[in-house]
Amino acid sequence: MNLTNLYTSLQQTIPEMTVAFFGMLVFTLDFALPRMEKKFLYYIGVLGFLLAFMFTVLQGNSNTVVYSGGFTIDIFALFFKVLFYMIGIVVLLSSIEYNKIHEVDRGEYPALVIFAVLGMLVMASASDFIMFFVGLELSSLSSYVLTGFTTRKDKKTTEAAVKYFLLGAFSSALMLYGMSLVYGVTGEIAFTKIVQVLAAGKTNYIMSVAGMMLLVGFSFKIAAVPMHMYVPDVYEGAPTPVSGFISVGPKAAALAVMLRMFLSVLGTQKVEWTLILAVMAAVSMTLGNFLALREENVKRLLAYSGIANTGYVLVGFVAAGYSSEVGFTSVMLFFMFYAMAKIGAFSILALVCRDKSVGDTLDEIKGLSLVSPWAAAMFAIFVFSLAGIPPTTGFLAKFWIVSAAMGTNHMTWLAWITVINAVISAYYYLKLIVAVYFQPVEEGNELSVVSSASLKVAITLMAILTIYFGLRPGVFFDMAHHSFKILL
Amino acid sequence: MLGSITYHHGIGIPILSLVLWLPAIGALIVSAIGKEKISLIRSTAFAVAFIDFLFSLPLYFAYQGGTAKMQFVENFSWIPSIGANYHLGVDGISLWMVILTTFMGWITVLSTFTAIKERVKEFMVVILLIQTAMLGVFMSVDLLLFYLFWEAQLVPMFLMIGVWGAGRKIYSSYKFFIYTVVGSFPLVLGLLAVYYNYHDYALAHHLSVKYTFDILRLYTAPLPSFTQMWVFWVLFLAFAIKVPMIPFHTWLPDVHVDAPTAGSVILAAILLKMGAYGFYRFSIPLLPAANFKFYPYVMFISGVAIVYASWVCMNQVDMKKLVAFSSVAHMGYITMGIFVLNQYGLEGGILQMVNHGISSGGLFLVVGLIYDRRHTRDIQEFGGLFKILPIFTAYFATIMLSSMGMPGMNGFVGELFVIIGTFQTSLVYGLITVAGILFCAAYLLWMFQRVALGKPVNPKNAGLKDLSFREQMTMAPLVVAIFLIGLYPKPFVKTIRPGVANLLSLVREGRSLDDHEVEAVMSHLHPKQHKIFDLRMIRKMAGETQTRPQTVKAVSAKPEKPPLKPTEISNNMILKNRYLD
Repeated sequence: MNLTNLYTSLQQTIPEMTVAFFGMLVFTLDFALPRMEKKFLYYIGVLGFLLAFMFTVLQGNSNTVVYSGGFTIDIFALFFKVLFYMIGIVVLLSSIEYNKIHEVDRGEYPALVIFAVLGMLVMASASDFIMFFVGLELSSLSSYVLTGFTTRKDKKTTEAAVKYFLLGAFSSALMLYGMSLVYGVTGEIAFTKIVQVLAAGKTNYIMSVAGMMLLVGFSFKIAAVPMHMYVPDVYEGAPTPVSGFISVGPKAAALAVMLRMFLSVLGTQKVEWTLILAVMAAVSMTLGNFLALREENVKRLLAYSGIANTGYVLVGFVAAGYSSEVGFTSVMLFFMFYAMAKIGAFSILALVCRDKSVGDTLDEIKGLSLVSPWAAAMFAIFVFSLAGIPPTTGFLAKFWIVSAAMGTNHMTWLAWITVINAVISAYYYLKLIVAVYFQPVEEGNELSVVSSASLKVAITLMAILTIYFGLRPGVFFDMAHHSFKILL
Repeated sequence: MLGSITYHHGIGIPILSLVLWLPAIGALIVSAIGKEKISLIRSTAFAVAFIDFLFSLPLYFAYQGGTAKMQFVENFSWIPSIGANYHLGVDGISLWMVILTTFMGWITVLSTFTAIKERVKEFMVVILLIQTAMLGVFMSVDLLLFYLFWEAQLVPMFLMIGVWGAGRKIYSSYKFFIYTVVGSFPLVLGLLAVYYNYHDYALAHHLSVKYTFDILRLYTAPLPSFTQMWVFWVLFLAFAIKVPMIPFHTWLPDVHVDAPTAGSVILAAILLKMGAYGFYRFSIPLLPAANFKFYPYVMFISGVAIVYASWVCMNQVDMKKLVAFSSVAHMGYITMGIFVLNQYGLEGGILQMVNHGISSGGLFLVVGLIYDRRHTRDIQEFGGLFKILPIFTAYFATIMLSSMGMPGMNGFVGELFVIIGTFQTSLVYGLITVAGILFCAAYLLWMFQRVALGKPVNPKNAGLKDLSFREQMTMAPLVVAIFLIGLYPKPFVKTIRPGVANLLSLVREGRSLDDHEVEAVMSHLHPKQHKIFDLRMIRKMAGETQTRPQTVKAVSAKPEKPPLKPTEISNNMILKNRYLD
């Protein structure tokens, strides 16, 4: 790599550089000005995300590859990056309030959020194994620490962090081994070149083993059955904003890489993988939904619903496995819209300040609409979006996933399972609405909602967008279609 | 192609959008008003609903009779990459549904002024949002848009039952939501099958539009026989739950009993009609072969609904539950009218939808008025009310008689049409529909007798106040509508007839009528030419399809027929049944 190339590479990665700079700035300021109120660090992080978002949008659809083929800037990456900035901003803002209640007064927290998002940004653009793995580890390690971020001696939180770390490290190792096998077979690390080699017929059974290893690793990140075991415990134990973060962030990043790499790398053995994914999808949906039905803890409930939603995403993947444009776009749209609703629901949950601060049961959010009509309304919009009721974006997301499965002609059974699952899931989403709207506040539960003006603006904006894009989703559809054209 | 089936008839302003979105905008305005200003909130909501009604009136006055085309069409690109459009329009089938919705809308809002005391602001927001969603269902000419409104109505209704209901309100709100979703989520699959079928059709015929959700375009692509069969039942499940048809009716009594009066009125008057409307808009025109195959089953359960629900009514002690079950019986007439698949039956079905909306909504209002006064709906608690509440009893009697199908009132016209249509198809079912009228008279008159006639024995009823001016204002428009339709049904039939004729043409030939043909239908519909809409021929045909399946195949593969010359048409073979050729 000569100097001009390096210069271009740096120039093209200005958004990521900005985020990295702000991450380090937050760290440094924390040390340099120990007496500064910690909430300013969060705001600095938000500022960094906003700046980086601006740069990303200005950069636009340049469709360039830098760092010797390791880093691609295209509309597909842009799509996911927009999502990551949104996640980062909402998580930082809701963490301010949450950490105030829970007396977490540490400057590392915002810095870790920023670095986790940075890792995800890198993953969205990664187009070779090295870059992908660097991004993956950056985001994963930051999330492991965030999961255990508490100043109290809380067994559940510790358990969550250890579980997440051990299982995560294990799955990363498997994935890395899979990558090394792919490299062994093809001699390439860039996704496009691997595809070329494989398409030329240079493949053998080791590729199947490698594919399996990668699949296991990805299933862990996106919380698909059978790698879903950790999900409820981790979400329950982690600080609520962090639960929201890990329920969408790492998933979205893993999905981005899966869409960019997995489908094309496995292109040679398409059908066989599609069936495996289809079974995983069906089992994830069904298991997740059934386990959520009787769950009384809201965070665990949302965790199970997350497993079910992973199932829906995989349905889109299956359709994409048939080279279907609808399938590919449905995965992107679904996840974008799902993430908005999920992170929103978790943020509201983080703001609900209870008397007994540990539990997050349904009983404890009863009567929220009487305490704070604003929080209840936002929560309802996000939950209805998760349930797939129009005019929210969740409806279009689910609609398009089912549409993708129907369009393949081979996977209509999967479409039926998806729809039946959507019906089942309606029940437990309704439980949340019933608790918030139809029931009075539990006796002896001093329910209140804390919120800053900036967070209110952010969440309200997201709720409005949830409805606005539910009615006018054109821009996302266009982006997804463009992405399909450049990637497949 | 599309130009010939949509009709850009305008009055210069996007009237449909205006009517559709006005309640939603009203909901925004109401939500901006302070919580304490209750009377301002009420009057604003009422004003919005009433203005919406006034705006919807031009739909009738400017409606071009004698054509089956979509009118007041607004068609804009919505999600271009998947072929979804913001496409609104009304035809003979939906026109009266739209007007009924706006008509019942302001009456419902007016009726809540004293009944709803808590969270008034939220209530008005919810009720206005429901109105927009319902109007959207009836106005959409785009499949995705239709489905969006169809589902969007769920949330506000769910909240209305759960927050302002009484008794087992949470149980009932779950029941309402889950039942509807059990039908409507699979409905997506049926609609998508139609969508992808059009795609295949477009590819095979090299059409320029590859993907579309436009209902009128979707009509043109015939579905393969097998697809029709399963899509029929998927659609049937969704619509039958909404109607509700037996055995999917069990949610209705619970929800009605626990919902606030306004919720019951909306539910009975409009929401149930969405199911029947779904049959008109989708099942009938899209799935001709399946209709001919399965109509006996649907007629059977409609017959069961008419008889069984009437008998259940006799047994009720709760007035609201009685009216709820009478809804099931009356909706049985509507589905019967639809699935006899002839001109009279289908026309009667639409008329009956309007009539039932007025009478059943009225009956729920009556029950609500009495509940406001006594806080009970137990029939045994009453008796001799005509002496205490003479004005109330007069309104009660009128609406009850209209629901019974008294000649000179609206119910009579619709039921008559349905009965004629049913007799054309089957003597047995014809007799059942007639018997149903007797049962209906029996339970309604008996209820009326126990509530209003006799001596006022219960001392708790003494000193009840008769209707206030506001309450009279909620009942009087209904009475006007009852007599208007009953004594002068011509304008209704005139607008409905071309729509229905077009529907039958779609069923028989897979194509829309042109204006000449519609005119012929309008002028020549006398007994001799009824034959063309007569089900006896269809039944013959259905018998043929079972023995010779290739007939259906041949027809469904060949939708485009050369247009008939006007002369040919006036020589009576207007809609010659091509299945018999």
